[in-house]
Amino acid sequence: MSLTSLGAQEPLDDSQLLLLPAGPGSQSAWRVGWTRFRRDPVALASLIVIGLLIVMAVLAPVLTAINGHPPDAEYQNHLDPLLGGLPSGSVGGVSGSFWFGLEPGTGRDLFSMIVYGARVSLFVSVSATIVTVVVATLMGITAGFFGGWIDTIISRLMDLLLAFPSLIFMIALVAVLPSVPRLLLLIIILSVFGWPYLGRIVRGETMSLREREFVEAARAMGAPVRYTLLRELLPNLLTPIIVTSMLTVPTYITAEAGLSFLGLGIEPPTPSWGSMLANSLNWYATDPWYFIFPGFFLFLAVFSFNMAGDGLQRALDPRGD
Amino acid sequence: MSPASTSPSPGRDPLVAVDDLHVEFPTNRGVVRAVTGVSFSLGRGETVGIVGESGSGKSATALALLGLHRGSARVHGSVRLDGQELVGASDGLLRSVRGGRAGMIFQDPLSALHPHYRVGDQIIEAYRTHRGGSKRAARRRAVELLEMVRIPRADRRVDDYPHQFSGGMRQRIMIAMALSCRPDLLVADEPTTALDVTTQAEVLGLLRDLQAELGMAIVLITHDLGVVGEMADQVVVMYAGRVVEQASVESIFSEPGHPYTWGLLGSLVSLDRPRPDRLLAIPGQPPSLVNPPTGCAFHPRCPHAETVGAACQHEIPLLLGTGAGGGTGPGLGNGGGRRVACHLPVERRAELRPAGIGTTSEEVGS
Amino acid sequence: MAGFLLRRILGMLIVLLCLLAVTFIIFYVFPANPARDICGKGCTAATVASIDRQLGLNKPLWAQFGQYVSGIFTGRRFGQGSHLVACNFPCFGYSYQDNLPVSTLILQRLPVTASIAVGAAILWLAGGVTIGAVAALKKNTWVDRVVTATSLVGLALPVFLVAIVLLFLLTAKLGVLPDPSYTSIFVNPGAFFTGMIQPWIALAMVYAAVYARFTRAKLIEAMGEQYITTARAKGLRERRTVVHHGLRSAITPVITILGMDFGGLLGGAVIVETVYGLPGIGQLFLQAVDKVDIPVVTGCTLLAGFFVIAANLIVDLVYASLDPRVRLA
Repeated sequence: MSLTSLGAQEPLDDSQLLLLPAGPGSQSAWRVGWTRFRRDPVALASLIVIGLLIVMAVLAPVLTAINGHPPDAEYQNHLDPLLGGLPSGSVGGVSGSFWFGLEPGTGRDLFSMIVYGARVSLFVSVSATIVTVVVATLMGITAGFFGGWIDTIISRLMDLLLAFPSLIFMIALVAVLPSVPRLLLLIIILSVFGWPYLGRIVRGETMSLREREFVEAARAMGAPVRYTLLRELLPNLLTPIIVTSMLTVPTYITAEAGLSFLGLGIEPPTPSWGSMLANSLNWYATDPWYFIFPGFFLFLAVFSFNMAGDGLQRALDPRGD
Repeated sequence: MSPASTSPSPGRDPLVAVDDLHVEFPTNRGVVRAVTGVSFSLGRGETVGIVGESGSGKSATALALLGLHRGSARVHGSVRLDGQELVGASDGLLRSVRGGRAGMIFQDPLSALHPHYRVGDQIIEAYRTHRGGSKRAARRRAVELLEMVRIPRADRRVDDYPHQFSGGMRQRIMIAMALSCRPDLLVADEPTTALDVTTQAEVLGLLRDLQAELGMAIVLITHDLGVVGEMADQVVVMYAGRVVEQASVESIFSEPGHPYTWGLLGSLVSLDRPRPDRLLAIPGQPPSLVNPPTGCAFHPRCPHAETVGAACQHEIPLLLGTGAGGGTGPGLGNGGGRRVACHLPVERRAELRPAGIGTTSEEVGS
Repeated sequence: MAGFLLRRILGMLIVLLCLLAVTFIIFYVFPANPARDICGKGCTAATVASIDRQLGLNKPLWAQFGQYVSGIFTGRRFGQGSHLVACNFPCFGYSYQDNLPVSTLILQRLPVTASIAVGAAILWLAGGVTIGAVAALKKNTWVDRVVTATSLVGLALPVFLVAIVLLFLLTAKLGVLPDPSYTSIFVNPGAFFTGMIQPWIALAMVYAAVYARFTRAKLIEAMGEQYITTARAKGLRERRTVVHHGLRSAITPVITILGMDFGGLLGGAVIVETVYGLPGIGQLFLQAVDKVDIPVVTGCTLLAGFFVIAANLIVDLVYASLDPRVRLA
């Protein structure tokens, strides 16, 4: 998808739909999947990291209360004016008091900024993912179920959105709609360009289900087709939706960070990882820690979601490897 | 049926000599013994039909002949083509043999031909690998080959793609490709399985004619005894990787000796014979090749296992000659010699053979 | 083939029309006062009013759209008398802030962006596909594992992060590369390459990882196909079998996903230009967004859309030339 400019997502081509478990989502399928997931050390570790990141984001106010440094408080006295505003001390000013050091120039506590930045990243990406799931499921089922010209229109729309230079449009939209609350705008924009990826998968699954013999059988027995289809469809959709969502979140995290990087994300002074990285360009030679910390967390978030999503896909794949 | 072959005179090497061929695949569930102890020999213009169900090891045998197994497969034994040993031979030698002195065709021509290249180009590639020469000459040869396999308008169709042909034509194209360098041996792995009956007859007819014209030996893998009856001079019946019966085609049809062969023949429908009340099916499933049954691999499905008793369960029967002058050496040099791997006493086989199975030799082949 | 081509071009034209409509709506309909936005900051009320009249912003939407579209093909004239400006074909609008037609502004900066995009694309395609192929052929060996692990890490590294890290390592710390900058390849090829290599790596990294993984999967699949056995049975050398038969099949799905990545390529170019301060179209675009110079923003957006659609058409054609089943369907 074109959001790969900022991050990447493995193209799940349609042939891989066959890998997604068929048949009604029974309890045992989930249990089997979970057992396999549990045995995969990388996937499990990733899930734990994700959990920790979420906790970190949710508890940001608590954490900053613990370390006593609100994110917007400036500790100018810890900066060295002779070096042009660099934090004094080594490692960007890391100390017992400032766990990740200070932001050069303003003297804000980097740790606090990072945990608050986590809030923005996770909130935007998770919300956008939820919206994406809703839209993609609706559109995908509609296209796959009804077929015909409805399908043609929706499919073309999806192809179009997937191919478009989404970042460019996102920038343009942010520019043109300055009055819309930024977080909401970000969520909407990300979803607009992100839903077709899942939409195509849902559509494919719906279409393949429609062709299956049990639909004929149900019809022959006189059961109402639509009802049967929905009953069979939704459990089957659960797996691809969950796996794809898990892989969509990191794409959105990267996209949001990219927009913030370009100055189009959440407005300062609210910290975000992207804006920190943008600012770090001024200091990369002299205070690399200013980009290392947010960069590391950004990478960690994206990487863990990717690994967890991959692990989930493998665990729920009936064929095994 | 191809003209009756003369058995190779003693002292002269047959064209193709396979001796005690074994193929194994180590897997994480154990060693899969796909082929255990296959031997046969072929002269020019002769055909051996290797018959069996899926999992019997027949395809593994075919691939082993030209050293086409990859990766972890272990092949022992001997495969000699015109005196040249192929098992364990160098890559260079094998490559010169493949497509050169020995050709191979496969079951599904749609997946066996590359979908992105023109058929002419694929044939040209086969030809130029061994004969070199200019592209134009190779192209002329390709058109000739297509004509030889009876593709109409060969000069136009040489530039078409595989998906533009029907199944039967595609199979003929494969044959053309395999024969491009006039090989001495053709290995055909289920060449007609994917075709309908009429097309099957055409392709088999083509193979017979080409064999007569080029004088090549054919190893024909199939699960269809009818095909064997039409094409083969000798028959090797395989089960669970082993040879259970091996005889001339006349013997197999007139006096089959192994219960599995009886089962195979019984499931054939014939217009010439009195219609049985029901077709004889072989009950049960093919065995696992990782964990084959003890003793005779066929015993769980054999209706006569109880007659013999404990031996079937514990002892693997040896492939022993039964006909006049039959021996245990490779090949059937003694014309009519038949070898069967079964614990059933030889004398009792004729009486235990189900009614309608086995015929007089006039009814064999049509 | 001709029919295929015609159908594709027709589809492309329809998409272009939709693109024009959407862009038009976004930039000329949404803003509360398009005239003022077009005029930019620091504009007098009189100029705003005259723009309003000149651009026909008081006309019905259909007429405006028509003018806008036809302007692209025939050029337009803005203003009257002393304010007259000619905007020749193709007219993507006129920047009042820079006093130049948008197309001129874009053309000035095109070489930079093109160099970044093309260079990165070549790097990621050649690199990603090769690495993926090697990993597929050495499946399950340490080579494969290293490639897989590296790809997984590479996937999670956003462009700007890689760019910063590269700057830090290669320019600041190790000093092996100069600060990235653009020098025309015709002026000084050496400087061109040393100046561009960091942007190329930054932009290519993520894609290379994706393509490596994808190529690996597809090549493994292709090598399991029956025609590979046929090729070996013909006596072909293994290398020819792998490249001519295996890789050839694996390439076609790679081409398919290429189409989806052009859009991302442009977005990535924007980011790279920002990080390194390269004077390309991306930088023009962002500056215009900042200055609220709507004609430039519109022009760049349109250009990006055109490029992606055209590139997709080319990709479709390449795909059809590779896989005959598509064009003869």
